[in-house]
Amino acid sequence: MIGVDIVDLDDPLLRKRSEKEMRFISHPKDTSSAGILSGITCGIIFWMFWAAKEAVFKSHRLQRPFAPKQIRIALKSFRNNVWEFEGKWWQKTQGRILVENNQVFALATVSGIEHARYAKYGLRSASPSEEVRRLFTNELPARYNLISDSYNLPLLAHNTSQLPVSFSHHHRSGAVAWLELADGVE
Amino acid sequence: MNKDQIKAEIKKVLEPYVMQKELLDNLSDEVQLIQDLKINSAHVVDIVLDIEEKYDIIIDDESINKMNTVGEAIDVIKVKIESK
Repeated sequence: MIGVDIVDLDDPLLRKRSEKEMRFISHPKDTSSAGILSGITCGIIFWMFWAAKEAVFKSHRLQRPFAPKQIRIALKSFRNNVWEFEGKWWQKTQGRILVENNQVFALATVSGIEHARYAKYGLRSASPSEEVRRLFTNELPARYNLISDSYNLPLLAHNTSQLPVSFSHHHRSGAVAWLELADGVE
Repeated sequence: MNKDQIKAEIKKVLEPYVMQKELLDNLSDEVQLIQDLKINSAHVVDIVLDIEEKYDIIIDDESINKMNTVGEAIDVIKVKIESK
């Protein structure tokens, strides 16, 4: 299972985040390894934890409300501009955070993060949810279909296989993450 | 301040965050703030901050968890205002 989240920091409606706002999202056991957040502003750190928690939440595909304070994030390492983290909600997850182009992007998987793939899109329409799905499906080989499960959560279908896929959009940014099928979705 | 007044003010707080403005027409107490109004989750904290600033109140965790619908949000705000 996989979850993705993207935050577009160019959104003019986003109020500035500081240490004070961490009270809305912090789990008592959230941690980060020494030094890996040096030079990163509180505002960005807030969104890194937020995006990671959203990605973990979505990776579970549960019919429960998003409660960031219930989700534990441990930032483990920083390499090649990517933070790797472990998340814990109902299940343990692995994840990655990428901060670039004024976007904070996170994905999380319950297993098999090495098979995680993602794409990011710039969005223009007033229906961003539909737009990001359309952009993704336009790139899919014809043998793949985007379908929904009984909770209306997205799945990628290929022959008899059905794999979770996750979408996110915010302001002018959209993202999708999926787990690569055995014969590959490139 | 009565509930109708708070509802009118909440509607103004929510308006910038709601893409489909028609969803704010006939705002009932049962409307789910995030799901029904299709507010991006990234703005949840912004909305709480706007409400805290508008009424000079602090919305604690327990209260946030009770603010799922418009009616529940009104109740939380009313109690916080009255206890100031």
